[in-house]
Amino acid sequence: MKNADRQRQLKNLRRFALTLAGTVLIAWLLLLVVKNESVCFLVVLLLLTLNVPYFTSRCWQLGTAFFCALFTWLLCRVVLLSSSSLNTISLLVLLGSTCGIAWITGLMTQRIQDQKNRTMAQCSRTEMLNRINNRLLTERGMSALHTLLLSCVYEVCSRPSVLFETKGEEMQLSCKLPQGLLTYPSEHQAASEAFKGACPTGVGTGLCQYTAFRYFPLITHEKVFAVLGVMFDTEKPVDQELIKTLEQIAVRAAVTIERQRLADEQQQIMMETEAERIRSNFLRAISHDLRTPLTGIIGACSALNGREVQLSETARQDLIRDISEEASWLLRMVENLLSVTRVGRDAPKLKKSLEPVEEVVAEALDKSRKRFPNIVFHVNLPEEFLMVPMDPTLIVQVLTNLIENAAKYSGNNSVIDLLVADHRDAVAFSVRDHGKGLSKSDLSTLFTPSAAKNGDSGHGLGLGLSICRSVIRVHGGEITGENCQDGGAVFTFVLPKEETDEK
Amino acid sequence: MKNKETILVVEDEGYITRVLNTVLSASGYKVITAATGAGANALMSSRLPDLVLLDLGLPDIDGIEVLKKLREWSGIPVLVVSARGMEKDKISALDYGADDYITKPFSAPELLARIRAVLRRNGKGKSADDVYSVGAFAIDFTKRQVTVDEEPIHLTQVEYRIVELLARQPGCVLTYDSIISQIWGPYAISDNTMILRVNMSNIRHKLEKNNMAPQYILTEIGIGYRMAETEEERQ
Repeated sequence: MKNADRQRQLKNLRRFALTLAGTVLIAWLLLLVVKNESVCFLVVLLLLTLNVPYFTSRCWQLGTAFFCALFTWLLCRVVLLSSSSLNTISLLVLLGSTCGIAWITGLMTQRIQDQKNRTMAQCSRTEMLNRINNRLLTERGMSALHTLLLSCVYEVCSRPSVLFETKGEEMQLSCKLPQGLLTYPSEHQAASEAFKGACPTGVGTGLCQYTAFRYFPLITHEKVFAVLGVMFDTEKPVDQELIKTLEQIAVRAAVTIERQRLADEQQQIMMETEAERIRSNFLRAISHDLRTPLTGIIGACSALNGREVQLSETARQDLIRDISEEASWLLRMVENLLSVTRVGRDAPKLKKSLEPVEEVVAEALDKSRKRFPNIVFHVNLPEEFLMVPMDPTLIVQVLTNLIENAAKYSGNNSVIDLLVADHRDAVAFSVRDHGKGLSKSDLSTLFTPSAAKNGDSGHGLGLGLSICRSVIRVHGGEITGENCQDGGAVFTFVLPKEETDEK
Repeated sequence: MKNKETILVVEDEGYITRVLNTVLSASGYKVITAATGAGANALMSSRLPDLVLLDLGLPDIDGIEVLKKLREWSGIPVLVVSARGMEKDKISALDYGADDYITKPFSAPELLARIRAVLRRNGKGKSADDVYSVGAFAIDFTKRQVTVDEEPIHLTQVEYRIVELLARQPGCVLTYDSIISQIWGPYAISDNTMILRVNMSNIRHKLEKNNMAPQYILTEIGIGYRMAETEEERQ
């Protein structure tokens, strides 16, 4: 700043010296040629008029005019050596007129300069607003947009700011900058006044006195989407230029936020359509799966009821056993489906509790032993006591589903390994069979809900596994299935030890 | 001939009521049925059944409310019937004084065993014996001594109190919360069952031959623990 000032002064000085030298030189030449001081004065006046506007300050302008006039007059006296016409009056007239001209031209240039400065400021403001607008337009996601808006406000005026968002008829604080900014309840009230009245409130508006912020409603189509609050110093007069700039920013922000809202809604609709599609696929798959055992049950019942079919006692027993088996399969299926509704998108948040791993595994084993009495289970648990946050019934169900799959793949008289491993921040549960393993096509579509993918008339496994995956994902874990090197398939799921949000 | 015990079946689904009626009548119980909570309230006070089989999902009143109202004036044993996944309801039913619960769907032998156990326990009241034993496990309440295969087991003070609490009411499910408040006092933070679970793990390490198949203290997953009942009593 100081350097620039000195430079400007030097420039003025140079110009002053040049003007003075030029004036004296030209006046001297004119006097030699024309020998008339009036012509000389006029030319000097003209020269000054042309030169004076280039001085940056009033002082320099007047000074230059004064000294030029003085020197010209002295020159005239020296050159013409006649004191008759070059008396004190002529000096005064000359001084007066030059200074007057310098004053007037100075004023005019000042005005022009001001105009120019204003225009430039306006230009840079428009440019800045455009830049902000571009940044707002390129940002994706509502919360990112809000944060960006506040950081833009900070760049413009280096003031803390808050953004209130409208949720239905309610206002709620969406974000603030800096993060740790404390806001009083009165701020909330002032913001909701701005929302209700759709007009600025807070500092400088006369509305809602007890606030340190000025609130700008973000309005599009006569609807307030959000309220932007910028902190102002209540002691000082409000900077109207800044208010204007902020209002401009508010207008642009309102447009972008509305655009984002529309985009979000669009996205939502698309997601719902997709969910609807998945749901109908799922229903188709289930219906197919449910129909098979039901057909069997109804057939067996009609055979048992019918008088024309003569059944031996063993055949009757077989039919009854089949009915009971199919019915209990149906029941497990329905329970799986119920689990899906408990972990689905619209389900209430899963209530997890800390459960000892050993109790959960023991429960799953107890159920599985009853179903598959001929299978030998090898269990390997870590020595130390482990607790994992989970919904125990759902995890038991996942384990029994995996064991059921393993039993199906490896036959009824085989060995199934159950392995629990303690990782640093998670616990891994593995169920391993020693059967023929998974085929390539199975591996690629293990967890997708297509019930009858095997094409066999038996019960599909896709649904069970897809439910397992939903359950594990809701727990913030992951489930994988692969083939072991020495034969057999192994399914592993990992549960985090710390509470995590749903994925 | 011995008097038939009366069982009140409170169930709103006709098909299930019919099945229960058939099974229970065939097993020598006298069955009365109610399809609504209001009907159940009326029958309980007019007929005084020996046991109530209460479905929690009723059309008019919440089953828990029926239970609360009953417990205001009577200790008639109540066996709660509820679907899987309704752990919270089961817990609150147990805490409001239900004697036991059974999860739908159940097999007939399972139901009959539970009914017999509840009736027998109720006839006897809280075990006042000095000793309780099941399988190889035995607890002597006066000596404060637990043995497995006649080998004394060393338990800590808290561990012994948990075992005693469960053994005093064999066959009854005690919820985590009720165990915690009885062992650690009513002001213990029952949200955190960690302390109970750790103790239970230690108890099992000391008592059970195979941790993965506990024989004496059984887990009711998501609800609580239950002490196994003796074979003789099950007859």
